[in-house]
Amino acid sequence: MVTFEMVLFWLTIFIYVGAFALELFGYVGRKGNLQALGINIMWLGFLAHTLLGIMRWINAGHAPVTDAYELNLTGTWFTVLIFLLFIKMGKIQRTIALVVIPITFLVLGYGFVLRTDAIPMGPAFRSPWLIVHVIFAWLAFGCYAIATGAAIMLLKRSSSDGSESLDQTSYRFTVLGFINHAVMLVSGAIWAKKLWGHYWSWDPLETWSLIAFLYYALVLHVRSFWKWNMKRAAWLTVLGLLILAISFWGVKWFSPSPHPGP
Amino acid sequence: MLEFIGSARLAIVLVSLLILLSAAGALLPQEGPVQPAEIAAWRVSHPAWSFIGGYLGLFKVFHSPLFLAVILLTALNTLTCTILQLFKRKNGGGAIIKTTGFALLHLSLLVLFAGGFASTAFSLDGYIVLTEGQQFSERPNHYVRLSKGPLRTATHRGFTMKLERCSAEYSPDWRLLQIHAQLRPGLKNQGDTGLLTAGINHPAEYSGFSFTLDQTGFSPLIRFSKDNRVIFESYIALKTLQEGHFREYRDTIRTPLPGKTIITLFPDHALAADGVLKKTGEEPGDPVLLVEMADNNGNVNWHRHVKLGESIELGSYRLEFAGLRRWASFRVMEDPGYPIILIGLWLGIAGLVTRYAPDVAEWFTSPGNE
Repeated sequence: MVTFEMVLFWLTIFIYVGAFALELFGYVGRKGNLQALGINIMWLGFLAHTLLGIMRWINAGHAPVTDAYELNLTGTWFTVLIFLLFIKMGKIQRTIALVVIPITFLVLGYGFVLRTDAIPMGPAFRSPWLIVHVIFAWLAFGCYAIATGAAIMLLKRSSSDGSESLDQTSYRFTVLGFINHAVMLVSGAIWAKKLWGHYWSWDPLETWSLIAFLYYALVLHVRSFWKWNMKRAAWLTVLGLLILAISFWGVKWFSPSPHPGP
Repeated sequence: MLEFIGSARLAIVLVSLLILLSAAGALLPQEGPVQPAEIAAWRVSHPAWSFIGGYLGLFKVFHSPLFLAVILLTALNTLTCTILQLFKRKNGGGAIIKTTGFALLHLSLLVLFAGGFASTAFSLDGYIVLTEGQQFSERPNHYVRLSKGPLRTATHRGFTMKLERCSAEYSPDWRLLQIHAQLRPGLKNQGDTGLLTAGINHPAEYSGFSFTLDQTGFSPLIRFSKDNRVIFESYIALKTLQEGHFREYRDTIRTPLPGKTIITLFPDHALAADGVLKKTGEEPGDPVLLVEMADNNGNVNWHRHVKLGESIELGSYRLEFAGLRRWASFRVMEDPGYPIILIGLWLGIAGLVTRYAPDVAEWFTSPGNE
């Protein structure tokens, strides 16, 4: 990793940690101004994050979407972007940052541990479907992460004040994540057909991605038809992110797959 | 009864079963992708899971009767649910849009099931390796590997496909960037049908078959003789062994000599001061073959190298490196289910977007949650 890129990486992490600290102190001390400052610091972190992505793009000579570090870099960028945009629109609560920011710097850090060298794009990645597949994968993850953030904050509440709003946020971002997840699967199948000759091979990464998709379909069914909401639905949503984490990062630890992933 | 078959309760149970079975398929070694010996070894070390897994067919779960039964029930549940929902009266434009989206989404599932069935039952999946100048004939014995769906009755087409030329692009540090294969198809009693080009991510299509490029390597022309009598003369497609982005082209060839004769190709080479061959490029510049004689335990007893156009003596035999071409391997598929799957996929996206569009629109127009 080039030195300036390394500096940007750690600056991004440092700023996000700072934003998290402000959010936490603001939340615990019930100081809204600290939380608002935390969000502003998060915007700064996002700027550094964007510069980091651009730097990586220049160093690698291609969009940062091939190796584990690049995928985690891009994925967390999308997560933060979605979160900040919806905060700006006033559609979600600031406290969700208490979950979103740690997810961001943990995923970024994990990517850093795995690999840092920029390499030319291999032939398997030279497809427009890669861009579609990766973008929608990360949009899905970002939405699910925010849904989980809302779910966790709902579970932490001892009173029902504000819980309905968190429950609604959790449901809405689960829906958005589900739609993006579907596009990810569709584009992945089309890409697989062109790259490997068959659209679905039941390889472990594909299968876990489908498991996560089916799980979220289950969550939406349970919410719609059994009217599960609030804490029961929140627990389901938290479990969903764990399953998603397995499908994104955990599969390679116990099942080899020809499928490149984060 | 119909209400039960089309109920959300049943749907939730069936989706849960699909999740569990898929998880089993992802965690347990599966027949097909994993070699039988590996599965046997795994089963010995996991006797309890082996018993349960074997009884339920979990070592081939995606082709098991249990999985098929769950899929069929899910299809029935989806169909019934969709019909029942469509007959329920809905009021308001938003409700009509949601119902339409719901119907499209669930219809897409049925189309996907149908496409998956067509793929599993009727497809042909084969693998071929062609050296430049070699012709493939679409017949069973011309495939390296071939499997067909159990309901496939279509006869082999018998068309030919000749690999005219194969080339590869590399980065300065020898990373493979792309492979280009030029294929010439042909049917009996038909003239020149023109060239097709295949690359990684760019399969060639002909007569409903797709030729998906997998790998490339080198085929040296080896002429093996004794007392000026040629024993064999053949292009030998060496295995391409890859570690990271480094490639070695090597294979064991059968000769009358005792032990093993291992040949390794260096497309371009330099000889180090200690006499060790070093690869200096991926493109054939000054190619050389390293010939190693090993015993049956793989211990190399001696080695020689031979440049293109030259020969070496191996005891009373002579091995000549007479030529060099590239080979390319292809996955050959005919899958009648894929077009159906594509329709189902896009229908599903359309259904999802239509179903949730009113909700998302309401969310964006409603006051904030801050």
